[in-house]
Amino acid sequence: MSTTSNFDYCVQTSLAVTREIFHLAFKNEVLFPHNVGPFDRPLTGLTAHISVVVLDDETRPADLTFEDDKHLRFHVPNDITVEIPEAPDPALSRITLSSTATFLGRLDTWDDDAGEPVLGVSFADIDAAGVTVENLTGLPTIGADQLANAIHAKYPSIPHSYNAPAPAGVATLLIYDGTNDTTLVPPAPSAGSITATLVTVGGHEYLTVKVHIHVHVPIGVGPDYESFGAVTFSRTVTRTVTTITVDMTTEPSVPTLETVVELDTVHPARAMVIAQLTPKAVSAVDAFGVLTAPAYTQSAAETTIKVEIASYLKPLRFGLFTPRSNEPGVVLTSPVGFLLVDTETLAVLITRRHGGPADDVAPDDFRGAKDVALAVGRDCVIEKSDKIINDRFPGVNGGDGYLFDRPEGKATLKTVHAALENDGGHDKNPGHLWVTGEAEVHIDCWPDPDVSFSGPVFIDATEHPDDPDGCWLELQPRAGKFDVGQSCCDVLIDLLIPVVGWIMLAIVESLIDEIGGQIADETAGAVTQMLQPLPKLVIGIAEVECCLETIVISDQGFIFPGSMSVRREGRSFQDLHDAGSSPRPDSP
Amino acid sequence: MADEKIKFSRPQVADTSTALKIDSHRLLLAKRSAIIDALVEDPDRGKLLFANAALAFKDSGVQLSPAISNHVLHTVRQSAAATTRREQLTTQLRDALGVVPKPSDTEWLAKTLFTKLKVAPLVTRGHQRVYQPAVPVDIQAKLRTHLAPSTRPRLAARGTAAAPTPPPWRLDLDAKLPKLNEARSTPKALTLEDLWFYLDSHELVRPILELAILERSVMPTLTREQYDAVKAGKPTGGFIDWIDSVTFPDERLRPARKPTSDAAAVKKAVAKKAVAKKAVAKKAVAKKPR
Repeated sequence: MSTTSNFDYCVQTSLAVTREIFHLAFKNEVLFPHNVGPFDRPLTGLTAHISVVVLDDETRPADLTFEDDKHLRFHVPNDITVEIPEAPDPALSRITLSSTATFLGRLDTWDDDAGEPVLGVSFADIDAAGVTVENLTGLPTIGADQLANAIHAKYPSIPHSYNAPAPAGVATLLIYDGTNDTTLVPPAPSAGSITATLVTVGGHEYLTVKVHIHVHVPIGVGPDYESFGAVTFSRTVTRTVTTITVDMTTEPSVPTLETVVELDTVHPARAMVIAQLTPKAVSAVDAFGVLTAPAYTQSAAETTIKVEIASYLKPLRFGLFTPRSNEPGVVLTSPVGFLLVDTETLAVLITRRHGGPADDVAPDDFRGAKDVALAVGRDCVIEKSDKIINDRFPGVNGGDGYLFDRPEGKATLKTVHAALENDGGHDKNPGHLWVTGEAEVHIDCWPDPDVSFSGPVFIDATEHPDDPDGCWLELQPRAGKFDVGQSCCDVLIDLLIPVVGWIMLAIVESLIDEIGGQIADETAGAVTQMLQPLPKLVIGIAEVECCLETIVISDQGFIFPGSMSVRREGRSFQDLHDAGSSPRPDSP
Repeated sequence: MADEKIKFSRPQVADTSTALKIDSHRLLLAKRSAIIDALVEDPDRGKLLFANAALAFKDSGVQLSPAISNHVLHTVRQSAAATTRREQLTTQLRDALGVVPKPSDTEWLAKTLFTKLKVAPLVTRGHQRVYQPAVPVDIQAKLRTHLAPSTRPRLAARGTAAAPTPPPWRLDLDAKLPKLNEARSTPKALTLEDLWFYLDSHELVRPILELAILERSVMPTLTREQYDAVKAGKPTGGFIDWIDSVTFPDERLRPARKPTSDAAAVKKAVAKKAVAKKAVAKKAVAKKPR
């Protein structure tokens, strides 16, 4: 078990806190543009102008979850507006697709513009396969109505009057689409709009169109033949996952789908006129050309969106945690992040002690049910404590020893060491430092004995959550249960407690210094204060207040559990609006 | 093989008739090794030396006369230098006050100061005594190198918890005293700590305070009941609880003759030869006919 893995320090925050920071960060449109585009994309030979709006509000909230030890999954509601001015069906010239896109971001570390290390999320290894599009709505279905609309839209651009030689002059064929062409004489009958239906014959889809016509044929005998009628023709519909095509220039070879011309006026010449008119009618239909429109299946639309999202996100990244040094020129160690999925914990490791990036592994969860917890690893604690002890007692631990001379007696301290003990270690509670040592006691007129000693030093933590200047935690060492007043105990306490106080001060300062919090002024005696253990600003967006509650000592090191509150820095227009304090014309 | 710890197999002396009897300081010194051998025969008994040396000796089969027992207890409780200083101060104060000083007696202190020496009582409540730092100033400077640089921006410290009262021997007897107002009433008892505020009030206050500090600064001798508790492995709430073992390295118990170096041996031989040569020359002169 290790709270800090191969690092010295670790900060763990809950998924809930990470989400809060994310939501606040997401509100910053400089970092995370909510309006993307417009940008153009070719769609079946047409140009689509696309705009995207990403959302995070009460009705459609964004979210993030922990996917694996290195990846977060973002859930982002979005609206995609596609404008195709030249869409065959004008009703489809502007559509809005709504969905929630989810995609993976990777915990990564880089240096920001100022050279400060940043732990954040990058999308460098994103690909379309890792993106999902959920609950996609707004995708139009291309059916007979849409094809009919396309035909109606095409009608104005094609000839409506066709001439052909007739026995006694020139025959005229008019094609109507309701009253779309008011120049036609005679005008269209009341039910004159072009109609379209889709039929399936032999497993193939066809568009069957009925177009109202008028013919005027000088037949040379008697009055000219005039009649309203209709041409019914069918054309093949070809669908792909992204398009629908109706080739109006090619008549299918299915007998039941032959072009049929009907003329209302009964006349001996009617049959002849129909026979001669039919090829003309087919030519007229040819004029509609090949009608092609975008027609995405759900799956194809999702795939396209995924590809676009992956492409857009790939160069992007944003910071989650920036240890900021207030000391000019001081470069802090790059933090490394891991996600503990089972416990919904973001773990940030700081100051690698041994190995390289390839040796980095996730730490154990020590946050438990708390919002946040800070840890100092065992090796770091022991290393600092040994250095402080050796400096406090020059000559101890390998030298000639440290002589102390008190009225109670004189002794040369030969070794002193502080180890970490779990709650219950040596039958002592709670977790504590276990101090061991050896001294040569100088007794007059007597050979000097070697005395080995050991005992617990506890660290008492006092929480100050309601200080108007901000919450803080106070730490004070205490040596076991001693009878107050026994002067020899005073000697022990007076020797050990101050040095443990210095040890705590050095360890706590280094922890806060590396994480980027604020160091407190030294206080008298052996008391250590933890005032602002975390950097107050995160990504320049969220203001964080971290209140530590206590210290837990174990053989893994020190843990400081606490709570965290996150709020947006400053006040934005949205804050004012939400609070009902927006500027008004009469009260700017 | 430095600090070799020797355990001797020696039967426990249970019978007082065969116990080692020590009734003089000379015998005490002469029998040191045997006494220690008996003490450390049981490895758990070593720490009992600091609990109550006299009882520890007795349990080891060493019978001390009352005077030697008293001597042993005092030797363990306080250093010789402190004991000597106590005797000096006691003599000085007895001569000055005409009575044996009892500075650990708070009522005696008050009576001596306010009645005998006619020192005016002061309002000491709410004032802080000055103590010497627990960590020497030069060591503090070294320890501070482990902290963040002093140039690093820091937040102002908040109110601190009450630090444990330092031991009395750290009272700074040379510190500047606060100016205190006279009290309206004379206290009937005075603590050692409050006596500090009167250092400038009378020339005898300093020796009384020093003696009081020395009397307080002794290794406690546990009662028989407490001693038995330690023997049974029970905690006493004292310093004894921290002692794991007490051993006497053989080199200190029985220091060996220091081997002479080659150069020293040669020098010694040369000197011896020179003396012999001188003696021969002297003899030759004496034999010369006149």
